[in-house]
Parts: sequence; C-alpha cells; structure tokens
Amino acid sequence: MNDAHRFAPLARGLSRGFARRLAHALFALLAACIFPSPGIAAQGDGVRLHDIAWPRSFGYRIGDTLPIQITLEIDDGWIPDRDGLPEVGQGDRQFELRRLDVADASHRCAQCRTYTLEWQLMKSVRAPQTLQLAPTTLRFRKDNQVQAIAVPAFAINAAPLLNWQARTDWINSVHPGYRAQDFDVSAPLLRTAGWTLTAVTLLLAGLWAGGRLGGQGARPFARAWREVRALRLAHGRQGDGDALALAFRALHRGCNETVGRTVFAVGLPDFLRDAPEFDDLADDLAAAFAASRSVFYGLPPSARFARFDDLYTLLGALRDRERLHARHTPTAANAPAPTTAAGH
Amino acid sequence: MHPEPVDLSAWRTRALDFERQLNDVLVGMPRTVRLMTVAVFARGHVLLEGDVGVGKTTLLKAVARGIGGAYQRIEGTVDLMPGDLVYHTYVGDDGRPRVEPGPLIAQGSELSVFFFNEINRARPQVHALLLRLMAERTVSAFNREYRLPWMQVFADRNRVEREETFELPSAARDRFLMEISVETPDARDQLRGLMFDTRFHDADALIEKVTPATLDHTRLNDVATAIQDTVQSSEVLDNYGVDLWLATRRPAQYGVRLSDVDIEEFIQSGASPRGVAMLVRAARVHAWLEGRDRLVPEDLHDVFFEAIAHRLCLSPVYENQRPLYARPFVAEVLRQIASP
Repeated sequence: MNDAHRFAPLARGLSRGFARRLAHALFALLAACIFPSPGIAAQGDGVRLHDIAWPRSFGYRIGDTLPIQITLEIDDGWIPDRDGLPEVGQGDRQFELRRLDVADASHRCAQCRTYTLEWQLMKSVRAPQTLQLAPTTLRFRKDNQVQAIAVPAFAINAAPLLNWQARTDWINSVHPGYRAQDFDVSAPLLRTAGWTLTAVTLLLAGLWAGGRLGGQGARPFARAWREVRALRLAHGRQGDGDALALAFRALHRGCNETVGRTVFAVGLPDFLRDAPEFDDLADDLAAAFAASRSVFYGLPPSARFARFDDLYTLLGALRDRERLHARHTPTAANAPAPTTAAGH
Repeated sequence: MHPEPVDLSAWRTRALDFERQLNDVLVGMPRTVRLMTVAVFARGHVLLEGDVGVGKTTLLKAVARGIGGAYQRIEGTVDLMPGDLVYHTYVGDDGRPRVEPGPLIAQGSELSVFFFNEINRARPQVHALLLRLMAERTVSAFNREYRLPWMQVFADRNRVEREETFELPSAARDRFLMEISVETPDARDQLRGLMFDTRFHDADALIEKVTPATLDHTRLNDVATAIQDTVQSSEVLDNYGVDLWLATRRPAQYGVRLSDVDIEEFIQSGASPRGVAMLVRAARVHAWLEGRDRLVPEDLHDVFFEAIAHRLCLSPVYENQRPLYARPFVAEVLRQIASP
C-alpha cells in the first residue's frame, strides 16, 4: 500500500469537516445580516467583575444566610437586563434567595456597584455535609448589547442542629458543628436527691406517726394510744374536760374500728366475743365506758378513768394485746399451707 | 292538769309493777310489753303487727285493765263508715228508731284504750276521722265536741290478705308513736307452756289477774309531761340523734349499705320531724323506766326501730318487700352512726 492510499481517508475526513465548518460560518453570517441580534459588548465598554466577597464556607445550619457581595464595574448606559438578575424567592431545594440589594460602591472604583445576593440555607442535614450553591449569572444590557457576569458555584459545609446547651439562653446555645458537652448536673442531682430523701423520710415519719405504716392501720388501738399520748403531752396528766372527752372518743373509735361497727356500753359483750384478745380487760373496758357515759351524757361521775393516766394505761394495754394478736394471727402471706389428708 | 304533783319515783314503781303484771299475762314477750309500757307513758298511739292468735287482743285488754278507764274495740271492714265509730242506729222495743253513741263516745272521756282491729280494711274516710282523733283526741258528734283526753289508739294491720284493703296513708302512719311487733315466743318451754298450761287457754281469766287501774289513767298525761321534763338529754346525744335522723333520710351519705340494695334509690323519704320528736319522747320514757334521768344512746336504740321504721317511705321497688328490708336498714343505721 502506498502513502497516497494510506492517507486518503484522513484527507477525505478533513475535507468534509472543513467544508461543514465553512458552511456553518457562511450561514451564520447570512443570518446575522438578515436577523440583527443583540451584540456582544465591545472590549472596554460594558460590565466587568471587580470582585466577589464570599461568606465563610463552614458552620451553616438550616435557616442561616449566605450574603454574597458582587462588586461590578459598570459603564454608563448598562443596566440589568430584564430577568437578568435572580428574583427573591428563587432557588432550589437547598438555597433560596432572600434578598437582592444594590448599593453604590464608588469607594471601590468610580463606576462600581455592589450587588448583594443573600441566600438562605433551606436544607436540614442529618450529618455534616457539603452543599453546593449553584452558579448564578447576572446579565446586563445596553441597547442591543448584552453582557453576562458569571458568579461561580460556592460550596459550604452545613451541619445539623444540636441540642441546646443552656437553659437560660437556649436559642443562642444551639450551635452547628459543635459536639454538645453534657451538663455537669451532679450538684443539682445531689441536691434533688437530698430533698427527695428528706421528703420521703418526713412522709414516712408522718405515716408512722399517723398510724398508717407498718400495719398500724389495722391496729386502731395503737392509733388511739398515740392520740391520747399526744393529748397527755399537750394537756398534762390530769387534762381538762375537753381533752378527756377527746381521749374517750379515741377509745371509742378504737373499739368501733376494731370490730367494724359502733360499740356501745351494752354491746361490750359482743365486742369481746368478736375480739377475744381483750377478754382480760373486760372490767376495765366496762368501767371506761361507764366513765365515758358520765363525760358525754351527764350520768353520775365515775370513780375510775377520771384522769388521762387511767385511760392512757388502758389504751396501752389494749394496744399491746392488739399487737400481740396481730403477730399471732396468720395472714394470707404467712398462713400455713392447708394440709391434705393422705388416704392409705 | 291534776292538782297533785307527780311523784315520778312512785310512778316508776307502779309502771314496773304494771309491766310485771303484763309479763305474767303474756308469756315470752318482755320486749313487746316494755314497748307497750313506753307507749302508755309517752301517750302515743300504737300500730300493732302480728299474726292472728299471737295475743294482741289479750295484750290490749290487759293494758286497758291495768291503765283503768274504758276499753273499746272495732273491727275494720270495707263497709265501715266514719259514722259507725260515732253512733249506731236501731229500732227500739217500741218500734221507734233510736240513735245511740258509737264506740268512740259511748264512754265519754273515760275511754282509755281504743283498739281498731285490721285498720287497713277500713276506707280512707275512716282513716281521716282517725287522723283527727289521734292528733286532737276530740271527735264531733250530736252537735257537740267530745274530748277524749286519755284515749290511746291501738291499731292492727292485716298484712296477710291484700284484697279489699286500704293501706294507711303516710300521714296517718306518722301519727302513730310506734309500730310494735307482737310475735310468738321462740323458747321451747314457753311454747310448751302456751300449749299445755291451761291458765293460758282462758284469756279473760288471765286478764283478770291484772290489778285494775294499776295506773290511774287520769294521771297518765301529767306523768308523761313530768317524765319529758325530767329526763334530760346532752349535746352529744342531741347530735347523735340528728345523725340518726339524717341517716334515715340520706343513708348513702352516712355510709349505710345494704347488700343487693341500691341505697341511693332505697329511701323515698326518711323520718319526719314529728317522727324523731316521738322517738326522743319514747326514749325519755325508756330512760325513766331504766331509772335514769339522762338519756343515753341505748334509750334511742331500744325504741328506734319501732318508732322510726313505719315512717320510712321506701321506693316502690322495695316497698313491697318492706319486712325484708326495713329491719336490716335500721340496724345498719345504728351500726354505722357512731356516738361516744
């Protein structure tokens, strides 16, 4: 094969590509003559990019704004083209234009103006991420001439919102890109634990004093004894008439609650039948009830139980028997298991 | 008012003697006799309840003999009219019509016990006359007013048969101091005595053993007034009585419960103020008979059921079963309401 044959396809390809380009150029020239179009600004007359002041490229979270200040040197007669500037509200899923300001920047150069595009970050990220602010074009016109200024893309680092760090100024304590430190809550925890312990202790003490703890709720005479003891401390061993009446009421309440019904003097035998643990105190109880009737109903005064001490002693004895009975009464928890007869 | 002052101590002795004599006549009924004695000295009218043949008439005749004064009895029938209590007419031997005083006024003011047997067989017109009679102890007849100052009405209700009966209105029931149940004794030896002891077979002979006029019926009103003036209550007991009363009206609020009963719906209306006044009146007599001049809760208890139960208006659903519910309800009220 000779060289002519070897380069023939290449020569054919080149000649075809050259012919096509030439045809395009001619067609374009013809079209430009028939349909006049906006021209390209001549060199040295138009809009020139002076500089761009970028915001920081890190530490953004949702809602933050990115002001981009574009300073342009604009010759006379050049104005922003219709739709040549982005509109407020325009944007993509990540950024949205919040503000577009134009300010004179003659301190920079004689014909300088600053266009401030304030974008807002609309995307919340789950983890630190780099987001791309798309390039923007600012287009200017003078008569039929158009000139576009390209604002390049800009990348920022966005971070998720973090837990607030301070109770008092929680809004400002939310920082992006910042790993929250745990509060040192040991002191308030200790303080709270101390107060809780104190409150629980007081509550338990109150319950105990009121006879509602440790099974005392089921021991009415223990409660009655406490009431009379308190009265005795407050009023002395003799006590006045009102205090003695209160003490007798405590005794009656103890009897009533023990058997679940009102116990009157004539009902004492029934009371002792239902609560045989007090059998040995039958005489004392009868005397106390008789004394109670003299206090409450105006019957002749009784020789016994005219003082606190007698009633206090009786209630102490009743309390002791009640406690003893409670210890020896099988409850559901400690009752012996029922025995079954083994038939052989 | 009798000019002589009332010696309550002596009268108590006579009252207890009267009670003892009644107990000799009516075997195994000490509580009934005590309640009758209370009613006599509280000067209240009494509804009697009990089956036939349990001794109601014997009891009343014995009471009338012990009190003194006249005794009259009338049978309640569906055709009984108010006039039949006041007069009766007949044709005399000479063929001329005669009008004579009826059982109410035949003995004039001497009438001390008037027994109305099966009162619920009489018509409401008769009940109306009885209302006035019990409230005012007067009756108008023959263009004049007859005063019956010492009369006590004892009435019996037939609770077995319901045909041709007219239930007493609550207003009439409320006039009765007590409703006393006359029951056959339970004790076997007493039952044997009633069967085989011949002295119980002749009721009239038995009644004659009661000393006539053991109590002077003309003095009973004065004695009753003296008892009420003498026996005193106390503030604690007053409060207890009020609690008992309110518990009959609003039982749920006072923790009164009955099994299988919606207690909120149980009571239509509780005891009336007159009822509780009568309760305390009877309780004072009870205290006096017990030898006290101060009221204690047991005095209220002993007469509470008889003085209050018949005044309670139960809801219709429970009214038909009153005997089933009334006593447990009253017992529960006494159980729940506490007093020192």
